[in-house]
Amino acid sequence: VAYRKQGTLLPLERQVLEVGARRGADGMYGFSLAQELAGETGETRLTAHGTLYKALDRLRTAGCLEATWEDPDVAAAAGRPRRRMYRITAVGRAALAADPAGVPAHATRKAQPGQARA
Amino acid sequence: VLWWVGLYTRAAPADAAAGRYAEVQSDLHEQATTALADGVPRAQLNREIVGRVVRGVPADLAWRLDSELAPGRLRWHLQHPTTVHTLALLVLVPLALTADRMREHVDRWTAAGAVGLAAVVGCAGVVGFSMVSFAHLRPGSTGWTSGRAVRAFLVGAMSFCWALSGVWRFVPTPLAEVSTVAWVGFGAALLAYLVARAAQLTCRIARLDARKISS
Repeated sequence: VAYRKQGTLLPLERQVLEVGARRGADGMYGFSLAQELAGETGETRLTAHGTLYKALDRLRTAGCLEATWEDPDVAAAAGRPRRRMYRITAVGRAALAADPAGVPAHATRKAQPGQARA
Repeated sequence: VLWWVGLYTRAAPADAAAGRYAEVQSDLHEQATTALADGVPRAQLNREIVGRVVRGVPADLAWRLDSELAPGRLRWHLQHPTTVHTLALLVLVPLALTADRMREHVDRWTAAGAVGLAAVVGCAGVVGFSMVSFAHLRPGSTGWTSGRAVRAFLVGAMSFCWALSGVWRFVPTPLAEVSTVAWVGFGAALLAYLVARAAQLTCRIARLDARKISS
């Protein structure tokens, strides 16, 4: 369960949107995002499935991300399951810009008032 | 891992459940492929994957809770006997265990107290029957399937055994032995119910896999 001040992003949400903004139209998928988040924060462990996909679901529901399933033919040709691609929306960019923590999330992850995770 | 995903998405909204399952399946494939290509030992990979699952369990459960708060979910549950069966089990099993523990002290009870407990236990059996009947007979119910019929029968058998145990445990031996037999019946029905549930879950995961492969 996430608690937050109105109009603020949780650290993980902010990180996800930052990655989404960098990727732009290319989009991102769950595992690539987990890898990038781990690289950014210097973590050796990848974000847990539940934490990551719940955050993605929350951002998608809020309109900050749009999600589309990859073309089955592309996935079949690559010999892997389909990826669900996420792209940041205008709403997501606005939320990122409006977030009070206007510095990269990983730099302030431990000291953002009112943005604790339970 | 996919067993856990299948478990916590069970009876969740179909689109969300299928989406989550496919997404985690894809993630696992990507992680395994990448790690093995990087020369990560399989044992370490397994530990990392299990760690990701375990750390995400609270979020998984919170996700499921959120999905249950969506509009229309209460109506869905009322129309699907599965939920009532699960509730019946959750009510019956702990009460049955408690009643069994109380049975050890029944000699010290007054006759009125013993009759009162017997009435309570008997009523619980009736509640079990009623819950199952309600699930299947109410207007708007999704009706019977073979799996549901089996499960309904087993829950009914558990309720019956429990009620029988409640009634017969307070009469003098040798008729009191009926109570023991009833408890064995309850245990057997519970075991069969859990096996049926596990089989159903396995089939569901296999169907999701097949759907994934075909798509």
